[in-house]
Amino acid sequence: MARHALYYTLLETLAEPGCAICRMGEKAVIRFLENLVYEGANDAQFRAEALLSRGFCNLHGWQLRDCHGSGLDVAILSRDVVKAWLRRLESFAPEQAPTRAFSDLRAALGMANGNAGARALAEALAPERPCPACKARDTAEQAYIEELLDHCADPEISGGVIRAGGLCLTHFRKVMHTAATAEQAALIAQLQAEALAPLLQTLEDFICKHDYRFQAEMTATEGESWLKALALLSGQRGTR
Amino acid sequence: MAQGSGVALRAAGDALMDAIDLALYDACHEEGCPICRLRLAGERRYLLRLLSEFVNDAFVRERYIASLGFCPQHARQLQALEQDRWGDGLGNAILCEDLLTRMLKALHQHRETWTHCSAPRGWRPRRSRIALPHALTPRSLCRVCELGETLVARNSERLVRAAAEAGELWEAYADSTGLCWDHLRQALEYVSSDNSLAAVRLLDQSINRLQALTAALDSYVESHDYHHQGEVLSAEVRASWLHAVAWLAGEEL
Repeated sequence: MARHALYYTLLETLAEPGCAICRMGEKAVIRFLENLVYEGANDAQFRAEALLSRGFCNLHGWQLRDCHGSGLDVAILSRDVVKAWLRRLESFAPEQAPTRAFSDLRAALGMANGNAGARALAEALAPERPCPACKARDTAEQAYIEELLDHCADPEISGGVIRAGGLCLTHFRKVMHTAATAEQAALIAQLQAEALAPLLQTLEDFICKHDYRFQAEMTATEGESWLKALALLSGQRGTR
Repeated sequence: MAQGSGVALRAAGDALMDAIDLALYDACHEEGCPICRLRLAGERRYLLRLLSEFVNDAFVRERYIASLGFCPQHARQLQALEQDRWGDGLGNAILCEDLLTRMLKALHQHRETWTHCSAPRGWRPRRSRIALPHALTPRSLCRVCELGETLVARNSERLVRAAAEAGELWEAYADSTGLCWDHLRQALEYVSSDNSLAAVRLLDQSINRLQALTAALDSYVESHDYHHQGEVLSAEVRASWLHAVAWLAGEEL
């Protein structure tokens, strides 16, 4: 299997502890947000996309706030969305109250008794596209998942996966869904099991050493095992 | 009525407000979307209670296992809460250890199955046909998210009712920051067919707030033009882009 830039980036990332796919997704989001702050707010296509996605999701909205000098870009993008929203609200025409008989008939037919006008407005305000930063992250993650599967038999990659502590649950499941053959799935499952076993052992030790008799024996690795376990179950901080 | 005096309101004998209304009333006096505030407070309360009392509760544990832990945001919140309050991670460790043990067992069991079900030579499907084991597939939503959704639904319904009644709770809401985008959408879903006035009131409040926000955003964007550099911005204009993020993406978790 040919080795390209993705392979070497993956290999480099596997040298760091934690789920490599999370890290690649995180880097993709940072790159995306930095590009946005640098030039994206005046890009017509991006603004149109941000309008359809109604801005960013909660995580990336606040992450963008933390990018240096993002105030103006956020203001420009938000202004577009808020103005579009405002136009929708101002043109709202509520459904007039139906007759009692009609309400009773709707209830008898098991139809919702909501206000059709209000519901239509609620639907019109729903995002039509996913958050652009989530999209950038998902695209990058998928590329690295496929690269990982293509090279999972490569000893450097498989050793890297174990040394890094395996994949987080979300990405492990994605990798398994993407795996094309049973061999790939079996190999990934084996790597994940090999990565999990030592963590589980230190986690058990961490719990046991909360017993007052063993408190003095706690090591640094055991002390941080619960944080590693959390990252493994829920992904790296700030990725989702 | 003094701001944020929900308890005083109850003491004054206002029979129209129950505990849910009072919490909403108080949240309206805080900065940001009141439904977001109540959701965040409710979720935090659940996680604190879990750490204090329920880590070893069988029912809670089964629910945690069924959803394969919490969603990333609530897992991080649980970790931060335990670290901040107790400077430790025993509760988190016990929950993770249980889940990881089950997952490891499933991996060992199913690896054998996968190893022995090879595809025909030369055949390479685009998508996997490998079924993930039961222990690696979430069977329910994150419990904290579920609770949060319940709180949002309950409070949205109350707010719509308050809009129709136009009483003291509505007055408090009318002076508040208002609902964020997502919660306004959800509140509109609770407007009944014979209650258009509630929708109109909710929307009027949002329109007023949004008009002020757009004007502030315009001033903020203009202030970056070199013609206006050096001009002193009001606090409202300076913070307008942050208010816009809160409005569009919800309050910071």
